[in-house]
Amino acid sequence: MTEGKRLPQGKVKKRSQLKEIWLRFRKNKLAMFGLILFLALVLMALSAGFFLDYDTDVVKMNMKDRLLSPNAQHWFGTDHYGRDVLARIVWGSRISLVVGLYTVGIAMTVGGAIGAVSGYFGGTVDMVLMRIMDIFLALPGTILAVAIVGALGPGLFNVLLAMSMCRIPQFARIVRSSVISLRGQEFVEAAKACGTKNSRIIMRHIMPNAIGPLVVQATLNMATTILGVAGLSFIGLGIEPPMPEWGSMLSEARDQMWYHPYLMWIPGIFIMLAVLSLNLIGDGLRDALDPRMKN
Amino acid sequence: MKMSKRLTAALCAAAALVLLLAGCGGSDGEQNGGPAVVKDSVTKRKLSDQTTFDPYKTSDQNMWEDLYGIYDTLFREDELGVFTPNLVTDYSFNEDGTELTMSLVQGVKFHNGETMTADDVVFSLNTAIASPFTSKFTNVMDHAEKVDDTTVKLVLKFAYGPILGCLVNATTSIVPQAAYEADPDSFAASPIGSGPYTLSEVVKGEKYVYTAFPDYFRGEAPIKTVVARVIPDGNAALMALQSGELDVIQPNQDYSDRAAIENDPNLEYYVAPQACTFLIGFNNEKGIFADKRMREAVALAVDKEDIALGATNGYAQPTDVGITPICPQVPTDFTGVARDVERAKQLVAEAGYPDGVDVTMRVISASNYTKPAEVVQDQLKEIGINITIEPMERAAWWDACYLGGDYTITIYANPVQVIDADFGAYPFLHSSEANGGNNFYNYKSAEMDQLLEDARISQDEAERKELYTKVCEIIRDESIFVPMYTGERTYAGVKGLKGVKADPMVRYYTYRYSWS
Repeated sequence: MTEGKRLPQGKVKKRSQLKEIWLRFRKNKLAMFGLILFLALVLMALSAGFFLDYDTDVVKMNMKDRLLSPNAQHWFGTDHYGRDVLARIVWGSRISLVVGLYTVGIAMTVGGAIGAVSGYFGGTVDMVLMRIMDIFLALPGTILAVAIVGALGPGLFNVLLAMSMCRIPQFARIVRSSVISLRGQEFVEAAKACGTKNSRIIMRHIMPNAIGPLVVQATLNMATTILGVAGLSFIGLGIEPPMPEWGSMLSEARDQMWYHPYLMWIPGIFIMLAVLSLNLIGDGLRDALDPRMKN
Repeated sequence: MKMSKRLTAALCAAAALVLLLAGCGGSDGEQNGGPAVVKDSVTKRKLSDQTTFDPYKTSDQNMWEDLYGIYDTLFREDELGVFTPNLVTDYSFNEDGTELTMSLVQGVKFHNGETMTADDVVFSLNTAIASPFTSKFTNVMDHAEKVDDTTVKLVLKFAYGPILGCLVNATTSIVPQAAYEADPDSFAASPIGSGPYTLSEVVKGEKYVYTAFPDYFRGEAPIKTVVARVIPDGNAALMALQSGELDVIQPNQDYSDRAAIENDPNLEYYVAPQACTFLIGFNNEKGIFADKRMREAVALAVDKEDIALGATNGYAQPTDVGITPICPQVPTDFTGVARDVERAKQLVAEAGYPDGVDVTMRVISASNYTKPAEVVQDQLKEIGINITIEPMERAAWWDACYLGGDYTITIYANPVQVIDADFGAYPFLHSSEANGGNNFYNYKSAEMDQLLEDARISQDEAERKELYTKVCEIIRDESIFVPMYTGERTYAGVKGLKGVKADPMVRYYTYRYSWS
């Protein structure tokens, strides 16, 4: 009460809240394992450019060295075009993570905006927007993605677009329900009473309070996106060759499964690790953000 | 509470496992302990659904495969690959080779019990001649006519050496006129022929069942039931073969499963020369490769050994001749373009692209086309041609690129259905076949037309070989397309099944199969 005038108060409080979340998250051993795994993958993706040259190490074919078993020079062996599998896995992590991040970023922004507007204003706006989202939700995500990529053609950008489109409604739904529960609360009414503009109320007062479930959803969604992109590439609708992508590496290795099965295992394991790590983080975040659920 | 739940789950799992094992044991026991029944059925792999059983309404080699069981052709290929009379007892050509007179086998029964007549044969041949789907085989035929009740005459437009090969193909199958004319549409779904098998069951997307025809004129087939199961995926097919679900399969066309089959003591891998050459095709008429320098640059830049390795695991042989080497008229000692990457770079620069150029390569989205495409993409990058591969569904590619000419560079394998250089050259290079026919390169040259026409009607094999050598030289010098490699046509089956062989034309006569 005495420190009511001091502005930094809010800042300090915010930091402590984050810290509290972090403390709760840290206690969760599985979630920490997921986080470390994920950070390792991110580190791998970030460092790829420093010790690998895309044109000579990642995509350049070298038939003399095709289908070498794992050895000191090629830790994961070479594929049927004589390319180093480790180099392709490392470079492939960039694509998987970038597509995952961008997709979730786009879906979260667009879906979040739609959900916030829909939830805040309600009425006809809500009705129209949500029915459009329902149409998207009615179609199975994979089929929708296949249809979009099928119409636009394969390629990194189109895959990104297709995956984001499929995920927009989920984010819109989550944000909408949070916003609906928040919009009747006193602090929003107070803001309204002060004559604050709608956009400012949404951005400054409602969204910060609705961010929790959104972050959890984003983390879990990134995992399904990575899996989805791998699936699209596996059926030849995703990333175009010769760009390395875990799903297309898995698909290419299928023909060698009789004598070089590790060519399938390796990308498969990396897909699994990425998805697993994000799921663990997502679960951990949910528990950390909402301490009531823990008990 | 928690404990009991877990216990229940564990018990359930255990029960399921026991049931599963018991199920396996039961069937094993039956197979081992039961009375020895001689197997008289064969289960084989079918690549895709049958779109039609009408022999005159498809030009798809995969569709013909099962037609050889349902219908008979006038001639057939014997075990040694020689064309022998089938529905014909005797045949002769007139002096200038333009008329083929055939005496028919008497008493041949169709599946509906009718006896085959000369009218049926004349009707069948004329229907085939009129159909656009069969033109590769029938465009040399003018018409068929009945001489008497047991004799039929086939009149040709000109003397044509490989004519018997045309009459072996499923597209010239013999059908009963009355049944076909009554309702061609229902005929296409429930066919009637005189072949060793009748179609008895169709489950779309799953299986086609054929039953031996007891009144077959060469005697009832030793295999009483043939089940063709639709399995598009090659690796799934091999697993089914290894587990005994299938008896014969068409293995992967990139030979990736070859070592696995060859090393399996229960399986046999059959090999025959492939009747096509995989090639890099260019649109010679429009787009960036209408410039001969660009085509030549590609020819100079590719390393065919590496392409064959990457695309076929090294089982295919690189080739420089533009006509599929299986044809006897093709030159055997032919020198292709020597690899020269520097010269290729120079040509690309001369053509106006010193800083490189981006090109889209449209290919059929099957691994036997996309794999060589990826290696070519890698190799051409070196000379500044940056390829984006656009995989297309087969039918879409066919309409847009092959018939529509809407492409600049592609990968294709030009098949011959009759082993003769005429089949390997004329349809693909004659100007009359350009823009919508088989000449998808849209290459037009009066000189080439003349060579092809002369070689087609010549009766002198030495002269024909010389003419086709010239054709191959023009293909090389003009870089109309770049031949890459030719491999082997393969087939695989279980060891006990006799009479199986690989066939370059995919002519699998199930009638010859038997269990040892």
